[in-house]
Amino acid sequence: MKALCWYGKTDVRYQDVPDPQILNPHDAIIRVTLTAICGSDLHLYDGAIPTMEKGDILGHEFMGEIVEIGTAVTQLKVGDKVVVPFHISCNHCQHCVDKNFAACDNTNPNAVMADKLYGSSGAAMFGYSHLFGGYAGGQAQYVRVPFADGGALRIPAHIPDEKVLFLSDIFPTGYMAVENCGLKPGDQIAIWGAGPVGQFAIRSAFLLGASKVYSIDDVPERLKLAELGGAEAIDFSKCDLLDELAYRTGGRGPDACIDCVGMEAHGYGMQGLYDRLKTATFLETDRPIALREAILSCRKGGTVSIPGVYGGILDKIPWGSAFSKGLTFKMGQTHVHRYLKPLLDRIIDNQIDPSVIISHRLKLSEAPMAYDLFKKHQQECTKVVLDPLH
Amino acid sequence: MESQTEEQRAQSKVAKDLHEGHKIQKAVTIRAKPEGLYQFWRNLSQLKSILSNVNDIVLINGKRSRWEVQGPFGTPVTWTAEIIEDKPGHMISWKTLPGSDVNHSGSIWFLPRGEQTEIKLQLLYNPPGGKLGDWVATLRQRDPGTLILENLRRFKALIETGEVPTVENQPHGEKKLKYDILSVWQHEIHH
Repeated sequence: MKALCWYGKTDVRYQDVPDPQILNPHDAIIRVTLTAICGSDLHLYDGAIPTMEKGDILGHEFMGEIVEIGTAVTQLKVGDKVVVPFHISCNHCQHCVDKNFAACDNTNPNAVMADKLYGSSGAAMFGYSHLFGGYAGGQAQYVRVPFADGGALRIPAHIPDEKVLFLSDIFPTGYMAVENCGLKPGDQIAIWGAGPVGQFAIRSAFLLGASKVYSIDDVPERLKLAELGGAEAIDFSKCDLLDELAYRTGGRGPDACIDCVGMEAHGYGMQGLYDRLKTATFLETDRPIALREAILSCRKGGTVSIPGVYGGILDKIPWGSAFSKGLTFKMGQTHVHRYLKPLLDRIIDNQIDPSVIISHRLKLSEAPMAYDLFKKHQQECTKVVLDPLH
Repeated sequence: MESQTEEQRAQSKVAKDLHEGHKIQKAVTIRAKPEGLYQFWRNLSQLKSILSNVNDIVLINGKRSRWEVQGPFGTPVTWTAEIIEDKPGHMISWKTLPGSDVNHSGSIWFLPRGEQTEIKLQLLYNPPGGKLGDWVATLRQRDPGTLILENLRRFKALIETGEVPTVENQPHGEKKLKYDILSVWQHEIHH
């Protein structure tokens, strides 16, 4: 089959690889019908995530048709159209039983490696380094899906792929980020980053009762898309952001702040310079600019929710502010399995059309160019979906 | 509270039994009753199937068994173990007999915790290759503590899900390079 393989920083290649096989009883093999590049794939593309191996197949947002099932798969059958969550969860350990699927104990064969870096390992992920399991990803024509029952969600055949593909990651991620804020009716939310996760957080915030959503970015096209979703756009390159947010919220600050940016934030001024210097001289791994702003601007007693990915060590976090204001922090990988069915229902009910964020429809063979485009030209490129059959 | 007392009792017992060498202690919690887990562990030929670094376990009699294990430098290491205490459904203690490559003694407990079981394993051993060998093994992630934890996790996955997670024999591009924990840290430091 054809697949997109990682070979190093900004080096990804479309090439022939062996077809996947069933390796365990709960596996299924899926013929991929649509896949996408995630913002977090850019962390791999930038070489910011350790333990990638040359030749690893990328991709954790994908859907397709089941072509083969293992002996223990009972709820799905060959021919089913399914969307697959980006993380792999066993459905049997205590964390899965408690519906904290991203904390699954049993799917990462390299869990001891994650122990050493993070204290303990969460669920494995598709196509996201050996630290997180080393599973081959879905930017490919076929992919092996472990624990298919309870993971892969069956989709009615008449629903277009583009409307449901983002159930695999970014729609649930934006939704859970808002759910984590524990909104009360009338609450106002500020959301850093108007990329795909930010766009879904904006739309989810209104679905969950926010009265006002501020979308913070410096890319005009993304801010326009945020406005289409009902948000008030704030271009942080053109204002004093903390002053602007305080003013717009009557001096209180947003009731909740969501950091949809994560470890590779772009900042201006002294703070941006500081992080660039420190990461360039290896004294810091992540650039937590959005997170600092979220903490400083959030209202007293408010919640800071962090769906943006952080991988390592952060510097100069205003902990005194967080303590003084009594903030609540919620963060972590999304428990996608929790949200699949309820969010599919919202899509079927026409409450949201996730396909509005797609800016580019390309072939898998064009993926190397698409990664470059997604990294360098955020003005025009919000979200790339890839057709693996051509 | 009962299980806590149980554990304290167990810990003082192991302190008495194991009085020299390197100490390793590892634990996992499994969604299953202690009795079945004990039985799986007590059936050494069944146990062999899930221990990733064990080449062979030969039963000599009800209490004695001969083990061949992949050592840290790829060479096999052998020992003969004798069960010195066996409390069905609860704990097993063993020690190696003279003539073994790696002398050690160990205990494993199966402690009920609500609907789950805490498995606690303690081991005292003298590392092959001395302290230097031990240090190198740690860097290469093949130290006994890591191997034991990996195997306890494989056991947990098998019991809870019916399979052990794997990515062996899945497709990938060419030039597959091996990483190790050393390069992970180097990356963390230099990135």
